[in-house]
Amino acid sequence: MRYVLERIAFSLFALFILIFITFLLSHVVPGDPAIAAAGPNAGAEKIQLIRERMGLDQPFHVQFLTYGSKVLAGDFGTSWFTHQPIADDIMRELPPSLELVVLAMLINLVISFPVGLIAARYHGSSFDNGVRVVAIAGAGLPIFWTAILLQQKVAADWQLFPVAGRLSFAYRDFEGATGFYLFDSLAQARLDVFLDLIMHMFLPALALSLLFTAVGVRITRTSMISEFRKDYVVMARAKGASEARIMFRHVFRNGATPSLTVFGMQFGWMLGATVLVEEIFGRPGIGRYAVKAVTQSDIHAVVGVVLVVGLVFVISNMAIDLILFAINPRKARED
Amino acid sequence: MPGAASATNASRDDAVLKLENVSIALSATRTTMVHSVSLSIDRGEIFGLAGESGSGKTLLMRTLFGLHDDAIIESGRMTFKGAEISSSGHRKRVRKLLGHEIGFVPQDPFSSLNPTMRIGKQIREALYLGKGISPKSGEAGKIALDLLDEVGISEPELAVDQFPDQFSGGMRQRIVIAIALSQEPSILVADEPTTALDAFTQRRIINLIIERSRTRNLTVILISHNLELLRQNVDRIAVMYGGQLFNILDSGEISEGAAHPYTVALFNCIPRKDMTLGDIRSIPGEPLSAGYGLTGCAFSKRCGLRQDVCDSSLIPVNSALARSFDACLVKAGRQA
Repeated sequence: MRYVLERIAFSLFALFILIFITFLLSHVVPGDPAIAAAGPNAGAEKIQLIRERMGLDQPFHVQFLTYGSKVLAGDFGTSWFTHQPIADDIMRELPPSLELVVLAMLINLVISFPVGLIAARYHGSSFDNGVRVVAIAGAGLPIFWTAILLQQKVAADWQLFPVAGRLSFAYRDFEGATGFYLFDSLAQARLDVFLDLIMHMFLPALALSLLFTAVGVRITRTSMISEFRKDYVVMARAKGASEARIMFRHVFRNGATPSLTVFGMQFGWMLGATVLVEEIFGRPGIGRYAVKAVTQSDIHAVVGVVLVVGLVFVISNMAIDLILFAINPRKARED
Repeated sequence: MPGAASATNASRDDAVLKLENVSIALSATRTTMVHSVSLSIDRGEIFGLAGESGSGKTLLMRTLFGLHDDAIIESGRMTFKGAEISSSGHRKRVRKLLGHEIGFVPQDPFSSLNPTMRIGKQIREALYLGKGISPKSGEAGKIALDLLDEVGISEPELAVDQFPDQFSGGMRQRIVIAIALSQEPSILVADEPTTALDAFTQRRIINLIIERSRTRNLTVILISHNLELLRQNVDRIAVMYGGQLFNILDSGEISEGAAHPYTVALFNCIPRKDMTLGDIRSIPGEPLSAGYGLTGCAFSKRCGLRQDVCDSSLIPVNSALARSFDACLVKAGRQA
C-alpha cells in the first residue's frame, strides 16, 4: 500500500513539474501578450488595463498559482483562432487519438510478447534470426513512410480498407456521448458503426505501431533470453514442467518487467506520433490539432496539448508501475 | 566411510544408471566434448563426480538428464533402471522421467527458485507435476509444510507465503532440496549444490542431502570440484578431466599409487586438517576444457609421471563397467 501511495505522490509531483514547465513555456514566448491581446491600435492605457485584467502585473509566483489552479480546474484558456475554450477543443480531439493509440498498442502487445518470448526460447534458431532481422529493419521504418505505403498499396490499390477519415460518409451523423466512438457505438448497439470505425482505424494504427512493435519485440526477446538462462528454468524443467508451462508460468512473468516499462513510455510517445498518421489518413485528433496550433502560433492551445499529452504519459507510466507492482511486489520496489 | 558397505555389497543388476561408452557433443558444431564415459551407479549409492570447471562433468549430467539444450548424446548407451533410453529422441524421452524418477538440485540457490512465485506454490507445483496432487488440495499444503520442516526451515507456515529473496542462500538451497525430495525421485542429481555457500552452510547442506537420501534409499549423484568434500561424503567417486573419464574409485582409496595421478594432484590442491601450508600443491600448467579427444591423455602436459605413451596411445575406457577404474596409461603399461 505504501508503494502505491508513493507512486501516486511521484506522479503528482511529475504533474506539478509539467505544469511549471508549460507555465514557463508561455512566458518565454517573445512579445507581450497584453500588447498582442489589445490589438495594434490600442493606447498605453488600454494595454495597461488589459495587462491588469490578464494578471500580468502580478508577481511571478502569484501568476503561477493562478495559472496552476486554472489548469487543474480544466481551464486552459481560449484559443486565439477558434475562439473556443481550449479544453473543449482538446476534449473533442483527444478521444479519436486515444482510440487510435490504444488499438496501435494492442497490435504492439499482441505481436511483441509472443514473438519475443518464442524467439527467446528458440534463441539462435532460424525463427529467432528472422525475427531479429525483421525487428532491426522495422525499427528503422519512419512512421510517415509506412503510413503512406499502407495507404497507397493496401487501401488505394487493393481497396481492402478505406483510404482516409474516421467514419464512412454514411455514418456522418453519428454522435456519441463520450467522443470515444468505439465505446459509444457499442453502447448504442451499433455494430455496423463499430466495424466501420475499426476498418478506418486499422491501417493508421498498424502504421503507428510497427516501429514501436519492432522495438517491443527486441526488448522482450532480449529480456526473455536472459531469463531462459537462469537456473529456475532448469529447475522447472527438472520438476517436469512442459515448455509451455515454463514459458508462460515462469519466464514470462519475470521477463516482462523491462518490456512493460518500455510499453508504458511508448504509450505517451505514440500519442505524440499520432500527428504523422492523422495528417496522412485525414483523421481528426490531437496530433492534427497540435500541428494547426503550432503553425498558427496559438500558444495557449500548444500549451494545452503539451499538458494533456504529458498527463497521458504520467498516467500510463503510473499504471505500468502499479501493474509491475501487482506482478512482482518485491522487484518493483527495488527498481 | 558412510554407507560404503551397502554400496560395495550391491550387485550389478541393482544398477539405477548405466552408461556405456557415452559421448556428448555440442549440437551446433558437433564437436565431441565428453568421450566414451562408462560407469554404473547402484541403487541407494551416493556417487561423486569430480573435476575442475570445464572438465565436462556438468555438461555430461545435464545432457544425460535432458537439461542441456545445446548438447546431445553422440554415441553410447544409457540405461535407466534397466530400460535403455535410446540416443534418438533422447531429450524428449528422458524429460518424461524428470519430476518423478529424476530430481535435480542446481548449483546456484540464488537463481534456482522462481523469484516471483511464493515458496509454497513452487513446492505445490512440484507435487502436481511429479505426483499429480492438485496444487489447491489440503494434501499438497500439508506435504509442503512437512517437507519444509524436514529440511530444517523454521516456521514453515510463514515460509510458504514468502518469496525466495526473503531467505538466505543456505535456506534457499534447503527449499530447492525440499522441492526435489517432494517428487520422490529414484535418483537425485545435485550439481555443485554448495559452491555458492559458506563453508559452514556447505557442510549442513551436504549432510542434509546425504541423510535424507539414506532414509529414502535414494541414489544420489553429487557433482563437485571439491574432492575432499566428496571423499568425506560419498561412496564412490568418478574423476573427469578434459572430457575424459580418468578414474572411478571408492572414496577411501584416494592415495598416491592407488589413484590416477590427476586424482592425487587434485586431492593435494585442497587444504585439509592434517596439512601444513607447504603441503598444499597447485597443479602446474593451465586446466584443459572438455573436448580433448581420446588420443593421448588430456592431463599428460601437467603430469609428473608423463611418458611418451601418454601422448600417442588411446586412453583406456571402462567398457566393462568395472566398479573401480584407472585410465592412467603409464600404470596400464606397468601392469602389461
